[in-house]
Amino acid sequence: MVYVTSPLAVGVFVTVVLFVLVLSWWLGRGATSASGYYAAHGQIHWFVNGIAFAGDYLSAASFLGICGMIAFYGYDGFLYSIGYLAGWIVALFVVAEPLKQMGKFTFGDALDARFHSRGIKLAAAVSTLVVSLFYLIPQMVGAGVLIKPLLGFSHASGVLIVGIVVTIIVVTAGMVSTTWVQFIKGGLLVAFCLLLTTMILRRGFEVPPGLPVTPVAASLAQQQGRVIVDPDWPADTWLQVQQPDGATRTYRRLPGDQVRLTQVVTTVNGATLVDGLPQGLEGGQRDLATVGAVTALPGGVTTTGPLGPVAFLRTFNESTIETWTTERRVLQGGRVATVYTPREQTGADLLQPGASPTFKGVRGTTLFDKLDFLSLMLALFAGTASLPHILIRYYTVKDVMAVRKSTVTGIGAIGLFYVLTLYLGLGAMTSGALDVSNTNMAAPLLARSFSEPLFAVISAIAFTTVLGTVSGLILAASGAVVHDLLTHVWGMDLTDDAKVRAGKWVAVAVGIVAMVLGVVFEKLNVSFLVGWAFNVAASANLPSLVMLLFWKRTTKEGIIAAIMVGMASSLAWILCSAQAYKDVYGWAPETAPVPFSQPGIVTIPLGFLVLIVVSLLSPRRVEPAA
Amino acid sequence: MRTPRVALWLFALYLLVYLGFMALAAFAPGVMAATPLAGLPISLLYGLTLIGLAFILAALYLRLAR
Repeated sequence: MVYVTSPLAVGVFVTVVLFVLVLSWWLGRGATSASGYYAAHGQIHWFVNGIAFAGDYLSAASFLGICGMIAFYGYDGFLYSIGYLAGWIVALFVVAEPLKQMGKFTFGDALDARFHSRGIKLAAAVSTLVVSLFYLIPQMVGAGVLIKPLLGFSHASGVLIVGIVVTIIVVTAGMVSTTWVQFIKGGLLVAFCLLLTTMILRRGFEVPPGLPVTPVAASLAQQQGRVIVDPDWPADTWLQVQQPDGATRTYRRLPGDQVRLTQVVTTVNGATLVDGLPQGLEGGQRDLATVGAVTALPGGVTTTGPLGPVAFLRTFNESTIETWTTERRVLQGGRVATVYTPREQTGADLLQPGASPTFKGVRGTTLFDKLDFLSLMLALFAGTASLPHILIRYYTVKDVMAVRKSTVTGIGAIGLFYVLTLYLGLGAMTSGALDVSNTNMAAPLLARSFSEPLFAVISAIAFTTVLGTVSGLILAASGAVVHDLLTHVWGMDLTDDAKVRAGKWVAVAVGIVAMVLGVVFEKLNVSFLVGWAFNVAASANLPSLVMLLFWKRTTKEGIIAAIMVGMASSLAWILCSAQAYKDVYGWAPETAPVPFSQPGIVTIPLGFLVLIVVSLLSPRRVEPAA
Repeated sequence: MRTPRVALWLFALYLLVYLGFMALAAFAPGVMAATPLAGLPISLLYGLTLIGLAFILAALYLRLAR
């Protein structure tokens, strides 16, 4: 879709970015020591830290990805919401407190508190780096996705702007300013989602005039112009009719000699055609129509008026909604066509798991199909407590009580947000404002269906969302390199000052790597990438975290082996999965060697098994006289 | 380096409810589609319960583990 850049949106966006930059400089000006830079002196108030948890956690993928997924597939997007929130239970009840008591700055510190082993520091640092980078990719891609329609820049410049702004934030201020950025952004995000939800409920549902579109007789469609004969579009499935204005209408054939009009985007040598005309808004050009509408409401009414939160969901469950399927077709001469076809789906069907390509296996008949779903739900549950940028936030508050209070605050804010995503997604699905070619834009476009200023504000908040999460990740990676690798593994004796300086150089380096990856992976689906990051985090980190806390026989060899095997096996599985074959390499998905795409259900238990076996085989550790 | 015992009990409770959700979604799609309360399907009710329960257990923990 072509987006018109509005000066208002640009104005709001620039204001927000400048505000965040100035604020982070101002709040972070006192943080010069290493404990100030990486852990904010442990003096952040628990409430601020709690909302900052929400800020850290509600990344671009949460906001844009989940809203988009619910807007296109209904309940399947909500599955991510449920899994992401459930993960906090593991964090609060199992991991948070011991970690707080054992560690100083990093996850490596905590794992190594009993052993003082260079191997553990090395393994922990490597896994922190890998998970951070994996998690950075979708954030950077999300930044590019957002800035393209908002400011009219290219994807690459969007990624560059985020990279540069974030690196400045991290280098100038460290954990203090990162925390405040997260606090402000987390608060804004929840507040504006609440506002949007209220507006959705007040608007209720409405069947737009002209819907539902009934299939037309093929003979009628043919009378509008000249029928095209093209071997790329076999006549038993397709009917193409050249219109008097030069556009090509592509119909999909239905049973009974009826046809249904589709929207077709064709790319050839970098040019994009929509229904056969160049994409654009001028005369002689054409753009995709916005979509997403209710086609039938319960009781045959055409409008509901304002609805309560329960009545909204009940009405949706009893309605019929027009949704769009996407089909990619490779044509002769290197052309690629994407066909968007409307269909009617019941709300009841959309509120059950399995309507999306990602989770369709849950409605399959074989156990392997269902394992993909079970595996992802498990990885989301276990992954949260293993994410490095979440783990480091336990070191920014005073004591264990503050850890508990800020985690509970975080769970409250995040839980509320995820309930709101359900309304935002279903609201977007029925807003008539969706871009059929871009799931990630659902939430901003929903805002635009209400008003242009709201669109500008929501986009700006989404953008700061990316800024906040990326700065937390870069800080976690920088801490792992300086604190674990330089100081402990290579035995460099750094002063506090030198540590902070080295950390800033590492932050710049990680920022550059993240920018490159963000440009390279432009085409990948944002929320899907995050699911993989959770898989890797859970497989690499969770077994050693949990076993260290609850099994006295754990040895350092066991921990090192579990981290390395968990990380390597989950990465290898992902690289060999059908999803990677299809989306990353563009190969036939059936040829992938692993039976399902989400590794968690295999590699998390594998990590535990390796830890137990290796620990039993290695010498029992000597208890220090304490 | 101790985790209060009550934390582990609360964790076990939540894990059980979560596993129940996964099992229903994967193996009993008919149950998930039933609408026993306020016209809402079990899929939504169970999902919202999981979110609410997380907060309730967390708040409960704050009181119990003082």
